[in-house]
Amino acid sequence: MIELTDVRKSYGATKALDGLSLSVARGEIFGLLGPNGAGKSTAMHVLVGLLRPDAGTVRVLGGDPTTAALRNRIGIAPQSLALYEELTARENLAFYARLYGLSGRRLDDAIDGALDFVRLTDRQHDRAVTYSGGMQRRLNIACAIVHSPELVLLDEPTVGVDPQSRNAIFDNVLALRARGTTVLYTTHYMEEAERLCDRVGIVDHGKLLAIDTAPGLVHAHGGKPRLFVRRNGSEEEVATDDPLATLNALAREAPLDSFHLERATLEQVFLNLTGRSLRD
Amino acid sequence: MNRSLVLARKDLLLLFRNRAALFFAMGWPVLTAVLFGFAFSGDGETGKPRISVADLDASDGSRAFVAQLKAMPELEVDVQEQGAATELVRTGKRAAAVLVPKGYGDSARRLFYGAPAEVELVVDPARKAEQAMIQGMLQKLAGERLASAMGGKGRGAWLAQARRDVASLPEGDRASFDGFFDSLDAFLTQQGEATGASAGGGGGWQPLVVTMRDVEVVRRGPRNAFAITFPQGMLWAIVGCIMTFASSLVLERMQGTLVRLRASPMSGPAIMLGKSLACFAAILGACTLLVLLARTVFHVEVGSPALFVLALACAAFAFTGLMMLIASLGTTVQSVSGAGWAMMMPLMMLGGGMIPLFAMPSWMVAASDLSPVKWALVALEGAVWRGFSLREMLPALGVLVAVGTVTFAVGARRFASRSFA
Ligand SMILES: Nc1ncnc2c1ncn2[C@@H]1O[C@H](COP(=O)(O)OP(=O)(O)O)[C@@H](O)[C@H]1O
Ligand SMILES: [Mg+2]
Repeated sequence: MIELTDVRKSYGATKALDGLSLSVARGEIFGLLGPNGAGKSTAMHVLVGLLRPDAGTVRVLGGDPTTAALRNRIGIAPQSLALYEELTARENLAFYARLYGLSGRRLDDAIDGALDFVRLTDRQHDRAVTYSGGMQRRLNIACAIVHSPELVLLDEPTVGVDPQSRNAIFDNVLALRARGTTVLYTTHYMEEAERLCDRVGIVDHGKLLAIDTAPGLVHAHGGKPRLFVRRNGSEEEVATDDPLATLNALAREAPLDSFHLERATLEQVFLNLTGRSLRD
Repeated sequence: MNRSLVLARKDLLLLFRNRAALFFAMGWPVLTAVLFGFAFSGDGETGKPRISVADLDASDGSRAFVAQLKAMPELEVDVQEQGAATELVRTGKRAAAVLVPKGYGDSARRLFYGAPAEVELVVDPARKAEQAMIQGMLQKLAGERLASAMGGKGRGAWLAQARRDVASLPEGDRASFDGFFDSLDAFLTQQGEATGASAGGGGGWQPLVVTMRDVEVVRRGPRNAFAITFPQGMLWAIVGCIMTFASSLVLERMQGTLVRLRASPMSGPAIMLGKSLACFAAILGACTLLVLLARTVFHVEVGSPALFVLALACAAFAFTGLMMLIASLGTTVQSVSGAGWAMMMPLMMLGGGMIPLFAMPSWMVAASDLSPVKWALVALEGAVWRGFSLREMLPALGVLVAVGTVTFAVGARRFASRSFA
């Protein structure tokens, strides 16, 4: 579906992409997780042929994404909202759908479908400028999927969004996968990557540091689960690969008042991989 | 091309949603055209005809004629020396001049015999309608004079003088005049005074002979000031449109929609083509509305509608190129619109967008060749009131097409290199 091989892209001295390689399979939700400035948006722009890489190869849907035929099969919701604020939701969608060659009945059906998908049917005749941040984000997504692309690129789709819209967006992403659409999702929120994505690539400074399922990443890079036990008013912490065996052993030594287990998150993974926190 | 049309359609829709842009494309041009039109029209170009009268006779009769002429409510009359009166017609400041020749007083007094009373009407041959009206007014005046001479007590005095005048004629001639005077007296007595007022000059006989003399008029502008101010208004509309679309191109880049468009199957050139189509269409639309308004409300005659369409298309093409160039002058809407106005205002001032071309001093006319505004105005005015043939218009059209081609090429290159890395 997507093949990036050793892609490099520099802006002056800044290496936005520094030998990035990754492959995404058909029908999966792939997450690119990394802090601001990691190179996520640059990677997306390379993927749709907006940026020509300095080096490396890019193949999307089996071809070169700079061709019009291929772009017809890709949808993108850029990080900066690509909406015309003085147009209504319906007019925005109609504009984008026509760019992809839709007209007549198919156009109307596609617009209705997209509006329904992001639950903006009620507000379809209001200008985008009157929308909340969350609604604008949802409309941005609707504009990306209105022509039913096989591959959808969502660049930080939850930035500046209220919790309700955020959940609606998560539902959208899962619904896309259910339709068989491949989704590339970038975020700097590790919970989103963990909750939504089938596989996650962790990027920093334009490099892919690790790629796997979220549990796989945690297992490989998160360190051992940590068992916390409390007895006689004091707490002990034990790192262990087999928490149940360790708990049994501890209980046999002396009775326990309470215990809890902490597994590593992607946050911990990132910290272990880079020595820095995701949110800075 | 299809995608470019989709983009153009979207941009025209956005134009209609943008009040400030609409004002600069339509409101302001209409305002300037109408306000300056009224200001330049000055004293009633569209109202009553202004004429000058020169009295070369200076008799009681001629003075009475001048006084009656001045009293006519249908005309605006001033008294001038002969030379000055003709000059005023020649320079287009008067519709006509009436010259009252020596001997008028005597002829006028006699009415039916001797050389007829005669005045000379000096006219601008182009002002047919006013000419006919002024001639009619002069005949009406003569008719009224005849009626008052024949009516009431005036008749006795006139008949007594007339009989004295013919007393010296040979016997036979005098007898026939006396017979005529007798029957005229009897007829008028019988008819009463009711018929007097309409004694104007039926039956082929006129109480006043008006000889016409055409003068060659040096015309520096059209007679209808709106024929000047509406083409100027069109240039303001054009400038309003190109500023709007130059800004909207840059705005698309700033707000990220340009990236989104580029990620669609649309190519960079197709995006610029779409914007240009929208700009071109907006110019055509705004100028068409202006010319319709000029025709219907302000009676501006478009000399050649076909040439007007051609001139407008070439002007729209030239300024669409300038729109691309302006869009490439900066990276923000502010910098582009600042640079755009800084470029367009001098071109407007120099090119006749403010001072009409025909009213410019000669050094400025020469300098105005540098401004595409001038060539657009020359072409538009050529079609509206200058009476250009296609051949006469070709130089202006050629300049416009060249300006459009070069500015579009340079602008598109610059804009593309900034936007589609
Ligand atoms: N147009 C540009 N010009 C110069 N530097 C850029 C440009 N776009 C991105 N960068 C730099 O490239 C790096 C990666 O940016 P980006 O891909 O936007 O990161 P992310 O989307 O992960 O936040 C950053 O250091 C950013 O400052
Ligand atoms: Mg980004």
